[in-house]
Amino acid sequence: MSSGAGAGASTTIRAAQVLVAGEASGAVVASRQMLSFWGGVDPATGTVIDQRHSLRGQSLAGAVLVLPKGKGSSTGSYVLLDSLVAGVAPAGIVMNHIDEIIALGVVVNEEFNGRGIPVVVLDDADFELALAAKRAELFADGRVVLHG
Amino acid sequence: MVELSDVDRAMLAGSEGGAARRAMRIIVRIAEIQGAPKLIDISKVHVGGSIYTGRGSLQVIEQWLADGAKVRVPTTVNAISIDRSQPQVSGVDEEYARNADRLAAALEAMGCQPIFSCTPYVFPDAPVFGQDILWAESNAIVYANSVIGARTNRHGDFMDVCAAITGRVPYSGLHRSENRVGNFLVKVPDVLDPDPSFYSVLGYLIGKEAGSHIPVIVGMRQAPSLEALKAFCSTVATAGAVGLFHMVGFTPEAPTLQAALGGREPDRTLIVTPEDLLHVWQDMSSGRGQELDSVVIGSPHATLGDFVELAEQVRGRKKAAGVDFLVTTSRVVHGQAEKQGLLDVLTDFGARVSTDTCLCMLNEQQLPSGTVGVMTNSGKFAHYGPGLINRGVFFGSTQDCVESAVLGRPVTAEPAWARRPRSVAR
Repeated sequence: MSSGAGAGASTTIRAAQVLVAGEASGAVVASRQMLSFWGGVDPATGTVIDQRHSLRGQSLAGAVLVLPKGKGSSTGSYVLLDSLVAGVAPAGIVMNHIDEIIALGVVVNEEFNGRGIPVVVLDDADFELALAAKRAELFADGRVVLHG
Repeated sequence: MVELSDVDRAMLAGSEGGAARRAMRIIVRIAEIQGAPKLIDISKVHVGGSIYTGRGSLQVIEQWLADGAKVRVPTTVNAISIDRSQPQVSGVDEEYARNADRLAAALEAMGCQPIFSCTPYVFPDAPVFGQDILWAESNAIVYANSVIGARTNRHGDFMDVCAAITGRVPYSGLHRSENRVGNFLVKVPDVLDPDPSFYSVLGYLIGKEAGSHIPVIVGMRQAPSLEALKAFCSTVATAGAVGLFHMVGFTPEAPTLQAALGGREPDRTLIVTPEDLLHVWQDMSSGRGQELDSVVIGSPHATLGDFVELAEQVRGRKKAAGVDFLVTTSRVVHGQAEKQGLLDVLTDFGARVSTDTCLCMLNEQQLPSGTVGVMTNSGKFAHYGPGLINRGVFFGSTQDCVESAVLGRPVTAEPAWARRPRSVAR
């Protein structure tokens, strides 16, 4: 599966589960911490505002967000949808566990606005690889290509 | 594959109109994600998606209404982003207030009861043990599952509206008995005077440690009050993704430790010491300096018991002139407190009471200009506040909040429950 080790190498892995199918590519923004979108991300700018989070101050816009799963407020679905409508959402989301609140924001945007982003779940070992990647590409069939 | 009933399939085909069709499509997609085998009926909904967060979500709710969305089961609405009873003092910008009002109005037009509260469990028509419901609002979810023994998953907002429109939810997670068994044993120390601040801190600590486990808490000697449970539910859900806990001897699915654990060994055990609690208590406070401009209370909404406690502490006293003192609650509890003469006591102290909205809707623009020091007794707001209002927030007990407001500077006394430990439960 791996095309080699070292800097600049690419690795292709397969999602354990595809929550929302789609294609994306972008810089990886990764954290081992769970994140509540509501109260944690500004829906108008896509910036992480949770002052206790390792990603605080970082923009999620256009990035492939890698995190174990969401947490906290159920209003996370609204905030993710708002950020999708505002054009400042992540390009794709890669998690280690199923998170319905995150998936739901994307599903509702698909149903109402016809536009979604891929949301996938990786098994533990692949998730570790994703955390360390610099860029990632997500494909509709569940393939995830990690770079660097 | 999700096995659908004839009614589900008819809704998917549009028999109940476009709004129900869309709601059912979303429910089925989420059921597939969860691997749910079928959908089940629910008999109550509490809509959490009443917070105005942006145009996108408002457009979705208004589109749903335009498509003919109507609730099929009794549905209540969570706190909203403005105080509709006194719009002139809300201090929010006009467009924000207008959009927040539109969101609330759209939900009302669907047939929701506008209780506008994040504590639906203090209302007369609360669910009962074993009832399948869909409640949103993280503290209410935990309260319904754990304290009442009703069954609801921790769904994202939008699913609440889907469930209200269709009366159906995926049969998954906490609706299934086998998934309600505790698997994370937490031994807490027997402390003196475990006030709500103790439960806020304990909830925060356990929420952080629990991940998605179901905590089983042992070691408590006295029954927690409604206010203590409210505080615990709010922080256990804020610090983690907890949807259900068991408190042995006090919550309905935990008459014994064995029952709470389903007769199995826990996956993990955590022994909490008074020192751990003190560390978390310190950590929850992010305010710095000696300035105090604002004290905020009521996240989740102040209960009648909170008003009684607060009135006892402020009776005959005055807050410092430079400190704003805000309490948020529901209109129903506001009415009860008024009847008992408690509101007059608070008004004499200099506090203002606001309804419909809650502290979680505060943003930087709503604070009086020049606000530096903010203090709260809410563990939930202590967590979210710094992100919402872009300032550190002092966390203390209700008494700390009152004393600080009188003195005009933040003072927190090391809590009695941290000072005088008895013993760790074995």
